[in-house]
Amino acid sequence: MKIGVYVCHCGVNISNTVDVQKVISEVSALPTVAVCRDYQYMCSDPGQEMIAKDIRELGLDRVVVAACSPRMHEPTFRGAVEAAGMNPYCFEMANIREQCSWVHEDKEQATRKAADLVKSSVARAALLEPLNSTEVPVTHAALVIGGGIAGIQTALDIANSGYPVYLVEKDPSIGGHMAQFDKTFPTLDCAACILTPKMVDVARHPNIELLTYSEVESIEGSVGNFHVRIRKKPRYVNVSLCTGCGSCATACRLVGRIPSEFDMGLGKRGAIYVPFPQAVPLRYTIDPEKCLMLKHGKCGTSPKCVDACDRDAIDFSMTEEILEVDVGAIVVATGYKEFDPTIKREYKYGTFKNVMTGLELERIFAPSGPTGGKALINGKVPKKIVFVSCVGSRDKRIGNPYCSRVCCMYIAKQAHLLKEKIPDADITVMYTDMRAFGKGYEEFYERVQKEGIKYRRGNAAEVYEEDGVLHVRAEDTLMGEPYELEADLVVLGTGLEPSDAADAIGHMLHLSRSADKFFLEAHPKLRPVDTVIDGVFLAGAAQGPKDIPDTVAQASGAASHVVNLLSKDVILAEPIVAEVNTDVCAGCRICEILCPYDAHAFDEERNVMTINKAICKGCGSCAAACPSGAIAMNHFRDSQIVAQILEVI
Amino acid sequence: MDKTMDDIIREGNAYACIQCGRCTGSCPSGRECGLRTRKIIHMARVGIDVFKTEELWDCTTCFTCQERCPKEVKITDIIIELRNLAVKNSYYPSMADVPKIIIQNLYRTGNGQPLSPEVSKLRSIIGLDKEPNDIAKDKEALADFQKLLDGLPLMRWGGI
Amino acid sequence: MDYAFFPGCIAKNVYPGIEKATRIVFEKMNVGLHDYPYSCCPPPGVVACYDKDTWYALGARNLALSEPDNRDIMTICAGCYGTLHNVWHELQHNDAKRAYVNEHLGRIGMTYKGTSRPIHFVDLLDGMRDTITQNKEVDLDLRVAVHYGCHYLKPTTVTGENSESPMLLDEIVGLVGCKSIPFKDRLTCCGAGGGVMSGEPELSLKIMERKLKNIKKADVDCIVNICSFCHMNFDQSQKKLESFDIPVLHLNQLLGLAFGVKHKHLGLHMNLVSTRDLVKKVKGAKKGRDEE
Ligand SMILES: Cc1cc2nc3c(=O)[nH]c(=O)nc-3n(C[C@H](O)[C@H](O)[C@H](O)COP(=O)(O)OP(=O)(O)OC[C@H]3O[C@@H](n4cnc5c(N)ncnc54)[C@H](O)[C@@H]3O)c2cc1C
Ligand code: SF4
Ligand code: SF4
Repeated sequence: MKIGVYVCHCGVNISNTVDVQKVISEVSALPTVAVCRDYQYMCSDPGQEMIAKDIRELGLDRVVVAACSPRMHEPTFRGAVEAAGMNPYCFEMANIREQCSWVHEDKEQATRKAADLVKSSVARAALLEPLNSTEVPVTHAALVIGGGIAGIQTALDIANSGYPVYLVEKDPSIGGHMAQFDKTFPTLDCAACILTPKMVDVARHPNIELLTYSEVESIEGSVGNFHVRIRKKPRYVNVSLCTGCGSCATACRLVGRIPSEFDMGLGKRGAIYVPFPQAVPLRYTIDPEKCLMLKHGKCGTSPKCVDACDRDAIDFSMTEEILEVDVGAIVVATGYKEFDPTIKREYKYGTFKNVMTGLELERIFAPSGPTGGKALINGKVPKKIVFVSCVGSRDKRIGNPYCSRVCCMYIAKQAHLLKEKIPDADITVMYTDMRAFGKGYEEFYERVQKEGIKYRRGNAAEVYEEDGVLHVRAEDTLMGEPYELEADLVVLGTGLEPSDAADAIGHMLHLSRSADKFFLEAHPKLRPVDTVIDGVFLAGAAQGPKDIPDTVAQASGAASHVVNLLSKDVILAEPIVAEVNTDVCAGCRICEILCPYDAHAFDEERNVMTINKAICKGCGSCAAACPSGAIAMNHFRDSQIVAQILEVI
Repeated sequence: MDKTMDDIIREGNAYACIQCGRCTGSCPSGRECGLRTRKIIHMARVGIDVFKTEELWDCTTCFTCQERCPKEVKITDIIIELRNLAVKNSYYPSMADVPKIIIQNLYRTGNGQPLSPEVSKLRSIIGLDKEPNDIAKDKEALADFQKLLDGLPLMRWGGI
Repeated sequence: MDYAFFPGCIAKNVYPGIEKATRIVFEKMNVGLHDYPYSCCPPPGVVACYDKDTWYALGARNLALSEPDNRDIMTICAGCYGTLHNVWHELQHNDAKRAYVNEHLGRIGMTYKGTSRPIHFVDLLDGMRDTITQNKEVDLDLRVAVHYGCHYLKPTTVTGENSESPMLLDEIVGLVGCKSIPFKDRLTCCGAGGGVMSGEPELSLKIMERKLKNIKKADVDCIVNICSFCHMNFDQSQKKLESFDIPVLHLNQLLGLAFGVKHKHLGLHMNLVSTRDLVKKVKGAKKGRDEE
């Protein structure tokens, strides 16, 4: 056995605390070590070349690099040894930075620990076995979950590259939150003008199968080969017959009686409805919770919608359909939900109708909204308006410590729009810190101040009512003075939280969440669209609060990763997987319950467990739990781990 | 268990403060006087000896600010600790005379608010014992109480 | 049901009517109240603000007194409750502080175990709504302004209450026919706490004046509180401010009236702000009932 050991200084990150020469002299003395060298930056080109040269010239069988965390550079060095002709799984890494130099101060002790860590890696390296990746074919199609601007952009980008896309949206129309806006910051583009064309493109695209009013039921398989079951909820309207003329909606007995979700409950719809006039697809849907026919089997003498529809499109006998599709990659674009400020009781949301959320106000601006775009709150034009920022953001008390990143700017936008509609309105924004970080944002912030919007630093402490008038209390922190303002309208700058409907998707795909409960990317800087699950990507507000420009950028990023994957015919599957020794397996099935990825399948006939290599992520849960010791983890065999431990104790 | 300014700031989580002013805006006392709760937290964080200020003693310890603080800064707890620090460093508020009398009463009778002959009479009018059945009546308990107080820091720092 | 009864200095030594009302009302409801040689809580405003360790030690002494009898401690003042409950809560999980306290209590032959819990009487009443209704003899038919008292509600991390929209007291006055009238800033501090009433009486009075103005606008028959200290502040401040004349009742005095107890037994005539009109109104209600 010839092992080459390379100790990195990591600039001075390691060598400041660890005496590298001392480590080298101790390790060189080991019988299996053929060569032991050090270098300033092992990950650099000369560093990698040093290893390659030794492999070629000294005929090394194993390589150990003592440097940073394998999370950082294991792939780098595996690549380097492979290029030099060695099996990449004969490479082993000792972490003497994160687990040693960075966390210790005493140089002598740190050096001793570093030497122990390297020696234990050498012991393990000696027992490593070459492993070969297997090739897996790739299904050339993608699934995009969520039809907001993120999902729309991702689907279009993938489809334009020539791959089929299934776009699944739970609501009757795509568009997401952006469809609810009238204008968008900072350019004040009309949201519909930039969004609707994209929505139509999606519907018409030959490569996109649009599945609205549908939900993902289950996902099995792994990168390259996911098997997805999609439940199409019954619309009770035959979409191929419906022309979207809307005769049914005006005829419905319940027209104008049901709060419209799209209008945030401010407008009313009937039991048969489209969420908004530009909906895609422009096809009607019957609300099964409200429809008299569906709930009571009876709607007057006969259902009015049926009478009104010339095309006989209404079909109460419709049932849900399950669609099964195979895809190679998945993009999660489930977006966000608005924070519900009811629990911030001091703001009296829910008690007074003129305390509103940001999204509610968006609907007031919309020409198709509940007031036809007129600035009317409870039928009156508000003259004194107070905006409150950071409601449900930067708030540990309610469990949202993060900044929602869009509220400062949508408040500026909304203040501008109100001022435009009500020139004599007195508008004050109470803010904590002003965050105008995007392109053109600072300029927009200046612009709205020029328009006469007052910005007063210091957030609202509470809202109270006296003699029918609302008052907002705050401190102007720049003056150091508490003050109160009367208001006919208080707008709460409500923050963003992950969508509830994302939970089920998260479970199905085994996605992790970051502390803010949004989906966790694989690396905060370098892999912002990947997840740790191969073949699953993130786009838009599902990954964290984002404005539209960032959402679209990430969506295109996710699409390019998908295309990258789908452009391959086969991919290599990581060989670090669990293997069952069927001679030893007693068929107790404990492992099956533990596997977070459902990689286990029980062979009833032989009464033994089997593991699907393509699904197994090599987490080791099953191997550690198996009472018979029948499961071995490639690359983490008991013998390898024991050798490693023995060296340090 | 003496706390330094730094201990107080850390235990009270003052480093989390974002100077949003919700505390001052909530403060019933600040509406009537110069107390600016947010400013107290700011001053403490930047190392100013805020325990020397008189405003510190304007707080009624109503905890409204602490309840509303979005960053879970334990504002009222901090104010109370800062007052302790002030007392330890002999920065008594100018208005500390009455509280001192209360402490003296506490030592003498076991009650900050002792029984007066007038109220004693009132008690018997409505059919209560002339003297409450408490520590002031139980001489043995009172002696123990005084012994307990003798060894506690309040007597050292309370300016008594 | 048996409790150690912690009346607190104000109810004992300034407004004995509150102590009396409490004893009568709880006797009628079959709750046994037992006396112990309590010191004052000690006051959070003065003692905790001067030296917290002393506050813990003296509070623990009070808490420990009924431990041998296994009795929880009923308080009738948000201030006493604030002290005793906060001390109890802190000593539940702060071992160092508990050791400190026991070291000092050891000097006088006592130990603190934490087995007797302090409870605010209004929380007790919460579980006795039927008993209240059974004992009710008069539907009071009063418009009342309720005052919760800061330290009963807050800090919520210790009290577990809802500090922005509590309803318990409103509901309890409702049981005896009173209507809780909403008024501006109904939950703000009365201005007494934190040593402000004793140390800065003028500031305290300003806070109180604003409060009273808001209550005045609500046009109520009386203020109902669950804190002897707030009670004292409401009553005494009105004398100083002169322009108000709103009778102040501790909840137990209000319950006493509803239970048919004579107002003089409840010490209502000892308030500085006259309760005469209020008592008359209640008598009217009682008479109306008797005639029916
Ligand atoms: C009041 C307000 C105003 C704003 N104004 C602006 C602005 O002017 N300019 C700007 O740049 N940004 C603005 N934003 C931010 C903007 O809304 C977001 O950047 C954008 O909507 C994010 O798009 P998305 O597709 O990621 O998420 P979403 O818009 O939330 O879309 C997610 C979609 O996924 C669907 N979905 C969720 N779960 C599932 C599931 N399990 N299965 C199927 N479908 C699912 C949802 O129904 C929805 O259609 C504003 C935000 C708010 C709150
Ligand atoms: S409320 Fe909290 S975060 Fe805001 S200024 Fe006050 S202490 Fe700081
Ligand atoms: S606790 Fe003190 S500082 Fe905080 S709101 Fe009440 S009076 Fe103001």
